[in-house]
Amino acid sequence: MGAVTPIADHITDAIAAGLVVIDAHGIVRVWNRWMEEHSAVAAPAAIGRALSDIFEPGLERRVLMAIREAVDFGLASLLSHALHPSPFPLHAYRNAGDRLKQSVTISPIAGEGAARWCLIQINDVTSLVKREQLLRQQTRQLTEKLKTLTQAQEQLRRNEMRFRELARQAPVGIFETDLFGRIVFANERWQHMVGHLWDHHRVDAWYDVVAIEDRESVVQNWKRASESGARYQTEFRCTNRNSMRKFWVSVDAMPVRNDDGQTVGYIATAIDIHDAKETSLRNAQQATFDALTGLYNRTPFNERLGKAIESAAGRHQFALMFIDLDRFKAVNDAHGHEAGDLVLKAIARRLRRLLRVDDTVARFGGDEFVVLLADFRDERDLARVAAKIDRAIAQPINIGTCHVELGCSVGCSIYPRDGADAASLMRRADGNMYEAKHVRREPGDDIAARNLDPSSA
Amino acid sequence: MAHSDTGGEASRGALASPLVLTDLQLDALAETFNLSLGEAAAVFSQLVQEEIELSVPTVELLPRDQLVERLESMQQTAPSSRLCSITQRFDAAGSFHTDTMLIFPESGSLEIVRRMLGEEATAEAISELEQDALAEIGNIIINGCMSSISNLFRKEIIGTLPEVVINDSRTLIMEHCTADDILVARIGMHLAVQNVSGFVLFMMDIPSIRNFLGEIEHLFDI
Repeated sequence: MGAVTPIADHITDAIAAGLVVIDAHGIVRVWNRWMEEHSAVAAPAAIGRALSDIFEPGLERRVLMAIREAVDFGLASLLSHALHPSPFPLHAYRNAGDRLKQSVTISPIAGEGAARWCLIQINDVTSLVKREQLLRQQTRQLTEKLKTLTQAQEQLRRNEMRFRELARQAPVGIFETDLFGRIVFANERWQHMVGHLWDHHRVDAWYDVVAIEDRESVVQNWKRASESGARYQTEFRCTNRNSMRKFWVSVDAMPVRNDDGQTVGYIATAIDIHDAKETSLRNAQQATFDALTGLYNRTPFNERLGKAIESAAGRHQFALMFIDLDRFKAVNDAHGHEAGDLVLKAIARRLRRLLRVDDTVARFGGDEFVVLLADFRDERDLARVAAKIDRAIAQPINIGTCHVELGCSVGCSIYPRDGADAASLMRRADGNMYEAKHVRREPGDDIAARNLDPSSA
Repeated sequence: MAHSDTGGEASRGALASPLVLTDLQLDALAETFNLSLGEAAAVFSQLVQEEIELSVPTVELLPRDQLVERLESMQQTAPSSRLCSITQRFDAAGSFHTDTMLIFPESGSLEIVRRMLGEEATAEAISELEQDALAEIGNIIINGCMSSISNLFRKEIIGTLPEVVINDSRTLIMEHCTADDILVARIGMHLAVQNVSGFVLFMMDIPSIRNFLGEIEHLFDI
């Protein structure tokens, strides 16, 4: 195999790289087994020939130049795979496919005598190249993913900013809590509404701002809702911590769920409904009570009457009493509406005082009052009540500038004797009242006796 | 490069201390390297089918600490970057031996390699094959310089294969160089869109530098 010792021959053939020795004349002196296997040129066929003869035209020119530099000047050269992917026409063992990927070094060595030869080492870097290509591809994919991720993050950041801005500008209070009701976010509006700045380091429950009178029920309902992950809607009074002003707020809290559908907290909107709530409370009051006298209005009175009929169910009796003031219009005309109001208030006060708590008094507008006597023993009892009313109303009433005296006409109806339903009972009492008024205009007539006890008439 | 009247003075200095080169000597070296760099550039251009320019080198003899300072100042323009070095050992039998090191900023050299290879600059770290390519680039430049010295001195200079080391400038110089004075050739490498400035360092021990200077004095007769 050339001018080498036998042991060197074995090493040369065992080595897992291509080894070629070129002498000063460019002639191949060593051609190891690796070269035989990958070039399909046997050592005897290669040795003694020039490289360019063996490989022409498949050999890269730079190989020959590097050989000359080594042999002529003693300079070693590296032919990297990156710049010379396959300088030699070599293939995988018994495979005529693609050329092997190679990395080649060409170093000067001492030759025979004083001559300088060179050693060519060829390394198969095919798998290394594949690995790096794979790595590069993965890097590209990762870069792509990172880009997507960065974009998504940017989108998220924008959304977050948009949300913050929306929350900031929102005309309603917005806050977010964890499952325990601890505030994790509160927009400026809510903080302003309750006069409290949320400190991220403090753990405050959102219901800490609920006014003391509503807190217990709010907390109870909240706990019930949050335990089941249900939506929570309620209205309650809050106390502003700065001004100590109490105001009505309507809160609508929607559960926030994680990917597994578990409730992890709540996002709530809070609207200041104070004015509306006050108005509606006042309206409710007005709908129930007569603003001037504080007596029931027609509607709640009718409801009570309906209930009385229902609970009496034909087995118990009760009475309805219509009262119409006499001379009220004259007082109004002579002394003005304010005086008229004073009169109505005074009469309402007197009626309430002389009736029992079970009885119901209402004002049906103008100077008409109605009484529901829940329970009475007999008609004499009723007559006594009517007489008491008559006397109470007849007492002089101080209207500031003078005392005025009024009278009244009373008409009664008795359940179930005079009717089984509200309408007929009312009609009957009203009719009796008008009759009494008519009769009353005839002096000396005894109204109570007349319409309460027909038998005595 | 300024010279003329300082030449005589430096020449006298060279006699007193071997570690001084006159401007004329430095000029002569620069001219020699310049020729070989032209050859190297031609090899590159052939390899990558793109014009690569290697600028005319400037040559000086620098104390080691000063060289480190200079390299550090080069790093300061890109503080995070390290330096990439390609080193080969040369032996001019019976005269001198030198570790010849080519230094480029890591980022710039990597960009040049990738551009030469037509790769996208994806990964931050250099791959094994890229490092090999870098070694070859250094190999071509260093061999070019050494072959011109070899021709100049008419001396045989045997060289080893290149090795790549990437590190910060101080570690790089301190770990690979025991010489106090270093012969430095500064070269620029320009690819279509890339400009990289590099140094070729000849690091020799004192006897080597004495012999090296002797060769130069003999050669230029100055």
